[in-house]
Amino acid sequence: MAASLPVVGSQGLPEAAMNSLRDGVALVSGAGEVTWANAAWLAHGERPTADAILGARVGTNLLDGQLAASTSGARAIAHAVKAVVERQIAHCELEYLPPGDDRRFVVSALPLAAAEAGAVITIHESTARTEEYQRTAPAARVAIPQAAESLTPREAEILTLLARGMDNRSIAEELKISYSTVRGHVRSLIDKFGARSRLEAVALAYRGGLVAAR
Amino acid sequence: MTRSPLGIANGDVEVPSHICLMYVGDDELMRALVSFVRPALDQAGEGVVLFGAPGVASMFLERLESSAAGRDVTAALGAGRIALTETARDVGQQVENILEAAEGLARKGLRPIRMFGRVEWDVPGFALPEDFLWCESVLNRVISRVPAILVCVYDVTRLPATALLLGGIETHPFVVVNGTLSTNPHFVPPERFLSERLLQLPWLRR
Repeated sequence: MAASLPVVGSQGLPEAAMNSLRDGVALVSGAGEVTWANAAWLAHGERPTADAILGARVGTNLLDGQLAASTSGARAIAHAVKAVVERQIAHCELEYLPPGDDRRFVVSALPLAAAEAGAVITIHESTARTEEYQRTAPAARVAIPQAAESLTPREAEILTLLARGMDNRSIAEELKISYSTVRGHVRSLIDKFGARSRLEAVALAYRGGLVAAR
Repeated sequence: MTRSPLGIANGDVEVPSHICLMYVGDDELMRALVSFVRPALDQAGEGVVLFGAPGVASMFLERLESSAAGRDVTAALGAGRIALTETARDVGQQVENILEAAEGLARKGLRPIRMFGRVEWDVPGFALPEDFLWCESVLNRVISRVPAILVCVYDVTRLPATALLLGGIETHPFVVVNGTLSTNPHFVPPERFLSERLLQLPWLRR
């Protein structure tokens, strides 16, 4: 068995996969240099507008203001990416609207999971579903204190186990109850938080201090 | 812990294992499917689980029947060595569907169970993205219950980068790209993935 993934630049991401991706993907080193970019990213760089991050090319230093036509949008993106590279924040995602273009793009940056400093930046066109999701989700939520008060002791117990990342079967075994009972409690929890998913319910519980980070 | 040939790429894998396969195009997907399942069709003691969004498992089975190079897929199905299951919008149920299918074959004494599932992302009827990522991560723990080789296949030309980076790369200890099996230095174990990745997703932080 090979010891590691094919190497891209100084990082260990699968180059063939990234080159095939329709989204723009670039790697930024800890020093802020774009060390590698796939074809879709370079296609963004060849767009008529020199604005913002879409004008970045391999070798451009995103983080020190050397973008060709730096705008406030470009600076915001560069600062956010810098914060990710320096691990001041865990992730960033910004919507970008190129001048004279009907499309919307989402630029996101994730730190590399490995010990090596750096980040992966992606660009993709935002979809109608994403916009709808973002627009409607907050309105559907129930206030966290209200949700907390409505939880039964068993639901609170299950919420704690969900926040530990446990699956329904493991929760059932831990509490010595049936799988279907757990499933019913999880559905009830999601409803009480007005959440769309089990993860959103857990995220709201964390935010409201109902469960603690482990 | 036993080892078994992966079939798709050179080398053996531990049983259980959770592997991401990144493919480009239908031809590569079907080559991977046939290569992965063929050992189970040749060995009466092995089992197969095919899964995906509704209709995907049946499509996999039809493709196997037409391209399994003389192996009798229908006989294996009739003997109860092949199980089909579906993913679900309720991701807890989705994990259970996958696990139940594998446990059913394991109870018959089949070893290993070759599980092959196609990943979808943000499509109607499928788990929401954050729940799908949770599912991929938690499968690393769940899979330890069964003697299975679980291969999740990602279409790099259709799935967004978020799915590929977070789901494909960070939730699988092993990755197959271009037919090469590799250990994955970017794997984030489930106990860290929840707090360091899922709860940091921007749409969950608003």
